[in-house]
Amino acid sequence: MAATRVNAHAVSARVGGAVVVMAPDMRFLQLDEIGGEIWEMLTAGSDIDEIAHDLHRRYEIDLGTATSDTTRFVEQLAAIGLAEFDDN
Amino acid sequence: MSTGLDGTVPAGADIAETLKAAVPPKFGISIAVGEVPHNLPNNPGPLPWIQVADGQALVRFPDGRRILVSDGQEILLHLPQASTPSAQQSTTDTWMIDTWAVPIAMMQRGMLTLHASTVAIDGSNVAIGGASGTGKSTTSWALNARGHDFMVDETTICELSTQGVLIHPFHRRVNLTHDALTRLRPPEAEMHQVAASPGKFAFMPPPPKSNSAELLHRIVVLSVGDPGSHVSVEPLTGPAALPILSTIAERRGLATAILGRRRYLDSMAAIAESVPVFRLQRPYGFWSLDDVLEGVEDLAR
Repeated sequence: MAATRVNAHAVSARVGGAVVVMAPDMRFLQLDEIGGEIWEMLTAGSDIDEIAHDLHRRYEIDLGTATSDTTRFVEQLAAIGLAEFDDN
Repeated sequence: MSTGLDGTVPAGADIAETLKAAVPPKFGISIAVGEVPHNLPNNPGPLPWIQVADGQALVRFPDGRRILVSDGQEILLHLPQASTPSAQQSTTDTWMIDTWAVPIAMMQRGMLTLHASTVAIDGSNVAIGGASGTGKSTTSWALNARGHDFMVDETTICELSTQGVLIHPFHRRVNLTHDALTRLRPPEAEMHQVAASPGKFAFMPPPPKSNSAELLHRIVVLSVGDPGSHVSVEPLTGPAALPILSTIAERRGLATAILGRRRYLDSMAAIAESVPVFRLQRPYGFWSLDDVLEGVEDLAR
């Protein structure tokens, strides 16, 4: 699985319990609970496999579903410039 | 000698000495007039005319004036040419100090400076922010005419503390349009045109009743809606407050450049967590100032 990294110019904070990401262009993106957890794991250096296993373990969801959902979320982040896949 | 606070400068007055009176001594900021470079090394951003580097910020103005603010403590003002001081020049120089240099110095000290006026309404300190032209100063000065204490125009200096968000009163000039001045109670102080803000006039308001830091209780961000709409108020809680707060905190990229993006966001998050934020929209064109004033008063109480 390709490693991923978040855009170094994007920062996040917890506000009212929710994770809010400030994008490099100063747009604000509010993430839902799981999205916020994935974002925080990405910023801590976890890759998609690690995140999917974590979600599988804590939320007792199927590992395949956790992996596909996490991948789709990261792809959405990548589409708006907040994350990128590292194929090296 | 005149303090220059009313915009007048006696012939032969030392400009730096006059401008020093525009900054409260409690801020501990020194002001000098001298040479300021056109650029900082390597021309850092965020804009060609606003440059921020370690501990320094430089702003260039179209008329050749430049300011260099260092370490939150020193302001160096470059004037385009040696000339006889005039009220008009003094007003422009003071505008650079109170609208640009002081907020920059406070950001260098780690504070946010909101593009907002602040009025104390029945013991509640309300910051009234918004983009240029939305009516911050008009609304604030009109609230003053209704008996509320006018604390500051355009520059609300915010410091995060364990008690909440503290604001530092800053006795500086008010800039109002001629239209607003004719509709509202005219100030007793002498008025001068603001060259940097065409159509606006500057005057020194009475000092606020309190000169010490106080808690900020509300933030109201003004916006302009469609013609024919009505004055409306929308509470913005938690994450929803951040985008609109950023419109009055970002200061053309200065805040993120000086504070750093991480500290900037953390500061705004702390404000959003501790101070109720509202958007107050009034219609474009013909609008009732009384409706806006009553809306702000209701939010404060």
